[in-house]
Amino acid sequence: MSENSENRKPRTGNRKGVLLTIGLAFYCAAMLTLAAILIAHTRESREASNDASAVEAVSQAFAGIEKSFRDVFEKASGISLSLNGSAVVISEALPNNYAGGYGRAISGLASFAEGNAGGGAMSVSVSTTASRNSMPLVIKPYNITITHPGYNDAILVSPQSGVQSYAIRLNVPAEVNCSSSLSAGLDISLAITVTGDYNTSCSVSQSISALGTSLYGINNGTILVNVTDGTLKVESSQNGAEAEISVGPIPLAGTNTEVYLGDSMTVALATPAITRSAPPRLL
Amino acid sequence: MMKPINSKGAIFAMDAMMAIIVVFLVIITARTQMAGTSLDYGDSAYAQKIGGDIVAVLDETGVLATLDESAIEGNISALLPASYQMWAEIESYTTNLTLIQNITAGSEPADDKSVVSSRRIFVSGDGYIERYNIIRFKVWAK
Repeated sequence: MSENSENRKPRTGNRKGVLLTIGLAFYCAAMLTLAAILIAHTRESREASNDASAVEAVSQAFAGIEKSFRDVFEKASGISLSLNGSAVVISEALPNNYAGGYGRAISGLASFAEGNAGGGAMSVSVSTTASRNSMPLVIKPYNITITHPGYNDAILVSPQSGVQSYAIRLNVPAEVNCSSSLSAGLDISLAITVTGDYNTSCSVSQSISALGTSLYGINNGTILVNVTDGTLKVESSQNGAEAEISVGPIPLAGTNTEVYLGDSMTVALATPAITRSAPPRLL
Repeated sequence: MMKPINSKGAIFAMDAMMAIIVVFLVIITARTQMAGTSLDYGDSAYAQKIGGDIVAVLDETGVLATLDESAIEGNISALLPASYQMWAEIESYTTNLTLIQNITAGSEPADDKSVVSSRRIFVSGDGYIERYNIIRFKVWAK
């Protein structure tokens, strides 16, 4: 009995072999796990890298089209935009004789962008209908819309919220005489300055009501400033009149005033599915 | 006098050898998976960003709008990081969308290079819109 027990007892050499094998097995298992993790991470990294490249490609295409629209607007619209604090200043001649050429330029750019800016799995679509019809601009974050309705002899500023002041400077290539009928109030600060030939000029500066109608006529209504329920319209049948309109919204804390074109554009990638759709920013 | 071969020990040793061979095979596979191309992982996105940023700078500064081949090539060389190369081609169209000019800057990459490519449109003209243009570019690691 005692002899059999001694036979079952493992010899020292065998025990070492078993320990070595178990050690190697653990080592191999660890290496296999690490390799599997590495392969999985490599695959994820590659997918993430492809996604990042795709996002970058869409962003670059969008930025190029946006810059082109900005250039077309600056060169072909006859409208100059600038910021004065939180107020947006729009300068142009009324009637705006550039409107037709601007419409053609922006339409041509849209066709060019749709045909060339995309390619492969990327598609570009640009809407220009509103721009060709009324050259709309949108001031954000206030959502104030500036359009040129009709035959582009007028500027219409439609406040959605928070217009605090209108400052209008008109330079008229003729002698000027003015008449006014203003709706007194405390809502909107209205300042109008008109200069004409032979050192003639007229001006008014007062607060008006956001409700009702305020009218300021120049040369028997040849040029008319009309504020109705807060919406400003400056129209002119006098060729060569130059208008500078400053729209002063209420400053909002933590927000920046930006001006966008009224039309929208979309850059879309099929795979991976990425879409960016927004109006081009002008200012 | 030689000891007789212990059969259990031999089997354990062979087992261990086989395990090590399997491990090496897996490691080699993982390495192969990782080493696909010279532009990989974040590199391709980075190369795309480099190319896009350079073209954006040239557009914003008005260099692209000059359609001057040497000016464009010089500015690309000045802006490009040393470890990358870039090739660009500009097609210039009239406002009637007729191709009238073609400009290239840099040398095209060799076939074995891994490249990223992109494009950007821009307009040009002195005081008015004269041309619609597109720049196509490729960026790769040296």
